[in-house]
Amino acid sequence: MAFLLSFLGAVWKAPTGRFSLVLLALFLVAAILGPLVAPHDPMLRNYGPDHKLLRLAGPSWDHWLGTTLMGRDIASQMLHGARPALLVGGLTAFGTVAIGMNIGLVAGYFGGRTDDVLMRITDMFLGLPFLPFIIIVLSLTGRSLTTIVVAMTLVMWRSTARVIRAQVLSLREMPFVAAARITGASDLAIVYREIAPNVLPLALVNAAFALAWAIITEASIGFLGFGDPNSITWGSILYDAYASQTMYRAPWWVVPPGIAIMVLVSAVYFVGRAYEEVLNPRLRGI
Amino acid sequence: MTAYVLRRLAYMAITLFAMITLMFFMFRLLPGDPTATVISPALDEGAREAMRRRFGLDQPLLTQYLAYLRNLTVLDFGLSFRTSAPAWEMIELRLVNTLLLILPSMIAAYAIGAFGGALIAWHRGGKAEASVVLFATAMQSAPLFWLSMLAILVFSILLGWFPTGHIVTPGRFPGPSWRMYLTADFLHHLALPFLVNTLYQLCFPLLLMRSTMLSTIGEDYVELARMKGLTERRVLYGHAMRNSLLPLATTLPMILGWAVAGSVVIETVFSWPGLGLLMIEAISGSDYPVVQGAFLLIAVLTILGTFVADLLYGLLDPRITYR
Amino acid sequence: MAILDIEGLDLRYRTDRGPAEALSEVSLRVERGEAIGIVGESGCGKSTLLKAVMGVMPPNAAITAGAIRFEGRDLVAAGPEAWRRIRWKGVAMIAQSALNALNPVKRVDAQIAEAITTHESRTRAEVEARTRELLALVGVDPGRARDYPHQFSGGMRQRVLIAMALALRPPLLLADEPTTALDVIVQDQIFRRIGALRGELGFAMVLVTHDLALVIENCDRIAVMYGGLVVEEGPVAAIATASCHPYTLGLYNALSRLGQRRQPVSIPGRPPDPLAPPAGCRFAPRCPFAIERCHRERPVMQALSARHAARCLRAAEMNDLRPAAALPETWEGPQP
Ligand SMILES: Nc1ncnc2c1ncn2[C@@H]1O[C@H](COP(=O)(O)OP(=O)(O)OP(=O)(O)O)[C@@H](O)[C@H]1O
Ligand SMILES: [Mg+2]
Repeated sequence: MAFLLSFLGAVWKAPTGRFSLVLLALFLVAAILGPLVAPHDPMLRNYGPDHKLLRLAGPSWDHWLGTTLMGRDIASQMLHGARPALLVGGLTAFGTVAIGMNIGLVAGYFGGRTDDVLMRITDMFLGLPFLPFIIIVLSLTGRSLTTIVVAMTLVMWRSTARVIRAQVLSLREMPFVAAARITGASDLAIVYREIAPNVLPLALVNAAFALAWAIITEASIGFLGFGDPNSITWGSILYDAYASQTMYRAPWWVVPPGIAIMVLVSAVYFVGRAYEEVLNPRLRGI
Repeated sequence: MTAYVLRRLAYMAITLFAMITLMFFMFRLLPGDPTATVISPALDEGAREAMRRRFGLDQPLLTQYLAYLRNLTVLDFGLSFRTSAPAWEMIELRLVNTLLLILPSMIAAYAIGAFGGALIAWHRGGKAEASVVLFATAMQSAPLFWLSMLAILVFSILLGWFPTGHIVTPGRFPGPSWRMYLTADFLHHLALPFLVNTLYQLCFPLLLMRSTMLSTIGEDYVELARMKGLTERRVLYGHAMRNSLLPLATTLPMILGWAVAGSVVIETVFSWPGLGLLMIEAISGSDYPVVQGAFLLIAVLTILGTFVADLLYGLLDPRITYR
Repeated sequence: MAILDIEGLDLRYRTDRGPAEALSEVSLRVERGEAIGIVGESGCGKSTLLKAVMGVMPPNAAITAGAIRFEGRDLVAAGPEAWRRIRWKGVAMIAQSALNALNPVKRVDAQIAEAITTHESRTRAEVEARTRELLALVGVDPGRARDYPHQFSGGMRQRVLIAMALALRPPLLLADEPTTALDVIVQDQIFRRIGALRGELGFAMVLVTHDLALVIENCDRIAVMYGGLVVEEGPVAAIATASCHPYTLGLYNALSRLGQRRQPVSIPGRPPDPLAPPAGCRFAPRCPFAIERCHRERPVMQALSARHAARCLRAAEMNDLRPAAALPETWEGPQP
């Protein structure tokens, strides 16, 4: 917790970091309250005063972002889409770092055969083509937010594991590790009490990038038609727009979901980068 | 050196073998059993049996697996469930299309990204740097399929400069033909997906190169290079950029992986008949031999990328010894 | 004409907390063939001065006044391209952190050759012969010319750097703590090698170090820096016996000389903050002899003899104060 506060404090110092944190907070509010404050039911077909279906109506006071081909309110769909995006992104980032960090710690600390075996496995996962693999898993296991998170985590931990391992390899040689060993600390205690806190900053940066990448991937999956059929996501909005073949007549349908993803993911990247710059001041170009 | 290459090749073979095995059993064991979904329940029992036998699905799992491995060695991916043609024939054509789109655009993205990132880091601290970083981050944060949609909206529909999709004007080449690739029509269709993919893929190398350069510029050997009186150009290209390319090279497999992943998306939006689109089509048609074949080929491309990047890194950095 | 003549040099760093004055009114003359030692505490601006002479300041540094004349020509006014041509050919430098100064991914001979070909048009064979000759000169097996830096020990890398610095037979060599990272024996070897080379090639040298003993052994003159200023300058012998600046006297106390039964005495207090230097004499807050005037008034360089000058308001009284400065008690006294 203290660590999280120091992380936020460090990011807050940089102007881009501060701006991005505010943006993230807004998205978080949308994810929590979105469905409650949405002006319409996102699946409801809206009719105009003349009792005709409001097909592809442009933005208006009643429908801020216009309507879809089926007359559904796009602004409400957008508000509903924030929650799955952050949920899927957050859970995937968490899973990715949890697996990647443990494998990196163990491989880097114990070295030798353990390292060899774990790194061979990591290499194998590195050979898996990212999106195709996820799509195949989804097509075989069925499509739900849970399977999406699991499938993404399965292919995303690999790079975190490699980065953490490299860091552990150099940390392992540090005097404080030798000191802990002399006092008789067990290997597990050394790994989790002495080394793990030192890779946490790096793990956090990785979590930010995993979060960003998971949000984009989730949208891509939705767009390819493999998303959770029971939830409205920004990817599924774009899929509907694309599948309707009418999207080029209704920019208000196509533009907002992409902008939302772009702004959210940019904010996550900038937070990650602001933190990286705190860890390594040279990145600020001084 | 030779021993090193041989060992990497062996690793590559093991990875590939593991991938094939994983794929085979995933398709057989996961809930979506092909005999249940592909062979429509509408068929009567006799027809289903005949079909099972025809595709070898009545054999024990291990027999199927061994047969599958044996067939793979001669590039026999089995018969398509849908067209009954050999899956490899369908895949082969699509592979060329994917490579023609992805390879040139990745080379361009990598080259532009490396140079661009080096230059903005070299002239750091200005408005130009800040705007390039912002633009690249935003691009990188947008989903590629959405950028493709916007590009079609603007450049194909509003401006009419490019076709909205396909590899050549539909109907122009009824059958597969190599002459197709030599036409201006092909290049015209290639242009927009190429540009979008390049622009999107160059963001990562660009940003990475910038941050690596910012660290490298502060190194003592860069200062020494300047002290020696080398021209700024030679300091930039010969020392700062030369050394910053190393970390970029290690990310090559990852970037290739992303590019191949990206190909699924970009091919779908642009109706580009490549491996990615084939895979998506085959999945929706539950045509598993084709899905497996396409996936394996994509995986081979990714693994090859890893292998090349490893060798490249070893060549670029003398501190790496070929153990 | 002096080979190097620095006059009234001011240099500032832009920092997050405002401008930091790293060099003020620095004047220094180096005659042909002469060796001059620059000493001073960490952070007093020694490296900054040498880098300024080389013209390789970091981008946040700016020379705000003064001239750096090389063989009579002001390099600051001459512009970057002219300056670049003087680098290495006219002035070469052995940088402070020699261990990281070689590019890890280039072969050693290529890095030496690069210095030669940038300034002189030579055939490949000539460059190769010269590289081998240089390596032999500094005592590195020429057969290892095609190795990479990481294959050399620290001492060998240092020698390679010296070889590189001499590649174009520059008339002036700047050495920024060339041996700090090395053990005493290697340090000794290297200085003997440099001394021999100087005897042979006759180049002038500016040697920066924390180690007064090295200066006394290797140099003709000393310049003492404090907080971005040169506070005293003169022949080694004059400064050793008749220094006229309390800071120099303090440094001498800090030096434990072999064969003398004296405990080294360090100067209490910390160097001035370059962002907000004291209004009067910069050393006054730490000076045991500071009088009220010292806190108010900025001392200027006072000539004490033809070649000896000090920046102290009480320089003229120093003959009387010097005995007290040698006593440890003087420096232990209550400091503000
Ligand atoms: N790039 C920089 N930006 C800002 N301040 C700097 C920079 N480089 C040096 N300084 C400051 O300038 C002052 C002089 O630094 P310099 O490196 O010249 O000291 P030095 O005498 O060589 O010290 P040392 O003996 O430790 O090498 C110090 O206060 C330092 O903090
Ligand atoms: Mg220094």
